[in-house]
Amino acid sequence: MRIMAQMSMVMNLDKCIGCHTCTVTCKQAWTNRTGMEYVWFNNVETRPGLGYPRRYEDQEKWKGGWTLNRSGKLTLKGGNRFMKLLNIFSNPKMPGLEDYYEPWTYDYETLLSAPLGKNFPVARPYSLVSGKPMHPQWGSNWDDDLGGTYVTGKDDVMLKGIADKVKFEFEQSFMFYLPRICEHCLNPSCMASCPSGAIYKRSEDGIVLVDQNRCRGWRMCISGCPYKKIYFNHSTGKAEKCTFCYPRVEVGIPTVCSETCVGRLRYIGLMLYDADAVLEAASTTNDTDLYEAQRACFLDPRDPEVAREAERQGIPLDWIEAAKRSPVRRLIQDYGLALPLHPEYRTMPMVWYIPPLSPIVDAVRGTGYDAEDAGNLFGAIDALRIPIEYLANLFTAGDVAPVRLVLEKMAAMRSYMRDINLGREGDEQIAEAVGMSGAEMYEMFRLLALAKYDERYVIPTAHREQAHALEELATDCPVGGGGSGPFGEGSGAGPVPVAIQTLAETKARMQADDMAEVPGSVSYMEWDGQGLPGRPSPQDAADRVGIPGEDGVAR
Amino acid sequence: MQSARNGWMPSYPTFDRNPLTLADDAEAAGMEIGPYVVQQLKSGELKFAVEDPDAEENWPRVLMLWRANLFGNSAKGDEYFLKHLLGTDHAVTAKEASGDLRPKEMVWREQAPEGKLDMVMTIDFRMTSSTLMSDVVLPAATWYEKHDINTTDMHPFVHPFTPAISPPWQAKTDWETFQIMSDKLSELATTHLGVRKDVVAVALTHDTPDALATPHGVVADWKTGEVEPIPGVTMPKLAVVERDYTQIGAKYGSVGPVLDRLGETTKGVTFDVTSAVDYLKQKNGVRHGGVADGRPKLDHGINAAEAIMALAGTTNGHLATQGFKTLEKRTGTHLHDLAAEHEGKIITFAEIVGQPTPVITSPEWSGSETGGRRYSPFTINVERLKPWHTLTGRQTFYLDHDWMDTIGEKLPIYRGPLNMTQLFGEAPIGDTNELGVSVRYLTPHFKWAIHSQYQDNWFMQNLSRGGQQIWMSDRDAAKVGIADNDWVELVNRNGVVNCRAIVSHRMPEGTVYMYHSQDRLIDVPLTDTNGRRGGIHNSMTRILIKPSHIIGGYAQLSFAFNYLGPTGNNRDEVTMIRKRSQDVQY
Repeated sequence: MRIMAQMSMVMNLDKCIGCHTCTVTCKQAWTNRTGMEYVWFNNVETRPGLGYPRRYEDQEKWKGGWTLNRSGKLTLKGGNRFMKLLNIFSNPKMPGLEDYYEPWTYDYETLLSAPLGKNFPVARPYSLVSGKPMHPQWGSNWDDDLGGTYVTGKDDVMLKGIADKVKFEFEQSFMFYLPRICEHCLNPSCMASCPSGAIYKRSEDGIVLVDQNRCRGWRMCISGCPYKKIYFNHSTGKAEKCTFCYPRVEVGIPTVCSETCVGRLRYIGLMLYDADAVLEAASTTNDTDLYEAQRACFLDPRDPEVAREAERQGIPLDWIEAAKRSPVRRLIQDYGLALPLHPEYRTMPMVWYIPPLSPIVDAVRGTGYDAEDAGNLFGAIDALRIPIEYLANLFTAGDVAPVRLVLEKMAAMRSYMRDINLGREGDEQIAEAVGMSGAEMYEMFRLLALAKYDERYVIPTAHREQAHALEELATDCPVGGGGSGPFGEGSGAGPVPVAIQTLAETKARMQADDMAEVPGSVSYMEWDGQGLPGRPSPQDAADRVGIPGEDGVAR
Repeated sequence: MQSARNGWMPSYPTFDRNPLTLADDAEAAGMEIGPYVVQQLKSGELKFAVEDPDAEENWPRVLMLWRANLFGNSAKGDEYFLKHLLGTDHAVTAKEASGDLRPKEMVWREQAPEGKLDMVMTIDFRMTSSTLMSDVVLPAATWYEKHDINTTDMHPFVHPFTPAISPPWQAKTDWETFQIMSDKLSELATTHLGVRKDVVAVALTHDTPDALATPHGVVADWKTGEVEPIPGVTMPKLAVVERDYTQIGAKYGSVGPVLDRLGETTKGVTFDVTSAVDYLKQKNGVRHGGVADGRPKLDHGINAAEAIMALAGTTNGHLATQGFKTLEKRTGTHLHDLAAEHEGKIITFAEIVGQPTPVITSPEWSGSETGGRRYSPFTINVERLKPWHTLTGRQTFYLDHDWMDTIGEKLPIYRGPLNMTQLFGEAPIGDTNELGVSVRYLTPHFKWAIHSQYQDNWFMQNLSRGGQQIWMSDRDAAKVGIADNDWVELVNRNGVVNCRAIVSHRMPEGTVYMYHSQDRLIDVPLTDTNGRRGGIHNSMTRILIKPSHIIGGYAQLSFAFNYLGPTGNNRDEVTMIRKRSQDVQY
């Protein structure tokens, strides 16, 4: 048993309102620069819909992820390393700009400089690719809120096998939002696809990163990732991806997308798993068994044996404690509410989702029935217009049973909590109907509805004694191509180390109840705008930075 | 007109005579203002401006927009604003009302005036239709370039703005801009205006005895001789305000003395703020010399924020507790415990910069945030039995007002949309002709911009369709051959819009949505209809005032600024929509 800790996320789709605040703040923080105009590390898709890039889920076309070969052995769907070498100069299975979209900007300057004229001046869209005037025909979120879906929706890959059940008509319309980031998989096919060994999965927390020094721009990772969450920076000629905001996570604060989530639907925490069991789990014969196979890889930190062994293998004690308190572990393991996105890709993804019940609740309420009644909701889950098969195609390789159970648990929770909110006794029978106790149901409700910041984000800090392995400087700065830093154009001339002290203070401020509790709190009113307030000296940061390993595998 | 002259709703300019002159005239006649105005109104020598809004002396002349995009956004009936207020190009094709539809009392002028304004000034930090239409634009500091505060009842916090950078180029903070204008005004006033008396007509006001001006809801109009014109009962209250225009600048920069004497009154509760003013003297320092001698300084955005927070119960626990104790004497119910947990606390600017700080439960509002609760309205009425601010003190559904009787709404009823075919000759919903298909036209809040236009920045446009857009049903689109993302043209009597269609099965048949606040400055082509730039969402609308919304002086139906008054009623509109030529020109 080789115990690893994985930083993981769960998103509760019931709460996503599609505001895209996560998308915008992520863009501002990470990809607001030349070469990355079309790139959104975090995006939010309206489903049914085509996603971004269009139809990325069509692995018959893109050949992303893993598959089992004829002898049942796990192999890259896009072909083995030899096949990749043959195609290295003409990678055929990569989405083109037409699959992402042609990004544009506006000649806003016209509004200021237009001479006196007959009409209002107007800022027109200009392509960020050709620099020429353009008429946008597709975007990163073109089918937002079912715009145009009556025509394009039939191409939604998830309709496979259930096209007759989904009608794109007003009376049958349904939708929900699916926010997506990199899955930081346990078995990343992007990493396995890279001919240069530039992609690595950090041994400390499982975050998957691209070493910008080693990346040679072969783009095999882009083909290899079935979620299409690695992107090509056409300015630097290197691959870039979601970093799980590791400079923030290292100091115990959540990713930007989570921090800014208006609906508070994201949870971050650790999962302990047995790294020796991953390959076998990913090689499970039936796609529909992969969900349970992945769950079986997870270890329970509350098991004294597991905890003892984890500590013996060098996982810090506070990380083991954090794994015990992990909201992600509770949602995946204890309550069985969260499901993986596309387990059939066999990458063992680690951003999981609670499927949406609210469209069903709304539909029941719309018909005049009591939408808090467990019986009504149970009946509606199978009967109503969100076909449960659609959710199953996303989260359980088409197996409706686990999805139905999750929705029933959530329906039961609504019903159970209504009694309590009305001052009545909770009805144990409702909880038992979905295999839970009333007390468990209440704790689940608390986590889903009431949990505050520090219950939703249980993030142990990086250990300073391991800092050399985290390689902060070595990985966060794309090199060449004009010297823009990771935080947007004009952020500074050279690489800027992440200022741990500043972030730690930010965290302390956010969690404190009272100003007086914050040690060394920074007053921005006194800050002269030069550098970062309270930032450690460059030497201090440099001392913590090691040299990248030479083995090309996970460090 | 009746609403204005009965004092139900405010109406400005109020009279057809300069209110500064009015005070002089009264003095020359040797009369008090009240009796003088009453006498003049009765004799007909003085009229309400609303009786003849097209008369030159009644036009508005100067328009100042402070961080508002009137002409590119909020002007319901935008094209009418362009035509009549600005006197510029517009897309109005509506005909003047015919004889029997014209107002009976109001003066009707055959030629409606165009271009009433002499000057438009806008303070903003972005180029909008309004700044483009302005004679003077004052560059403003953004949220990230100034000190300021904001809040809402949607969350329990007061938020600070602090500058990340100094205002670039000539941009100034709002506080500085108004201080500079005030100083200049005072300088000019030494020769031009000096000290004058201003007659201000004030509407009958909510939460005052004015709310009892119409016993039993029986309407009596002094104009027809049913009653005498009595200020504050059957007509507006008349206040005389001495305006020392030479001291506007000096007064602007300090907390004035009237507060000490009158306190602050909100929703019928008067707060004694002397201790808050004393606190501000310590906190902000005082002015030395001149008209503001010894008064708390307001010489900076932070000082102004401190003053607001010291003078509001929601941020000054002493005031909140005091206000509840005052209220207890009238309600006989226990209330002040709601604020007691914060009685000694005044929230400061430094504190909210340090971290988000929740506000204090106060009688200025009807919800309770005591013990960390989240705000919801009327909690105090429901849980603490504070009477509702209605005729009965309870939740009231029956309104026995004469006007409500006339329009058949004494009890709440469903009212369908106005019939725009009958009223204005628009095509019936669902009809098709050469202009396309007739649909109901709604302008709801956009998910990315409720009233703001920041959806037209790069991020939001790249996350949507890249320009103005209108949502329509696939069924309506099919009737006139519109496909998703086609350029479409909307035409009704109020104006013309050009934009992209977002066709979706999520939209109900017969209705289109053009979301709020899409200015015409992003990717709007020239129209097929008139060859001019297409309009905005409010180019298809106009204001239609509903009479029941301008009832006043009757219990809960009394005017309160930003609480009770007429709305635009622009939701009953219809328009034609068609596919336009796809080879658009700019």
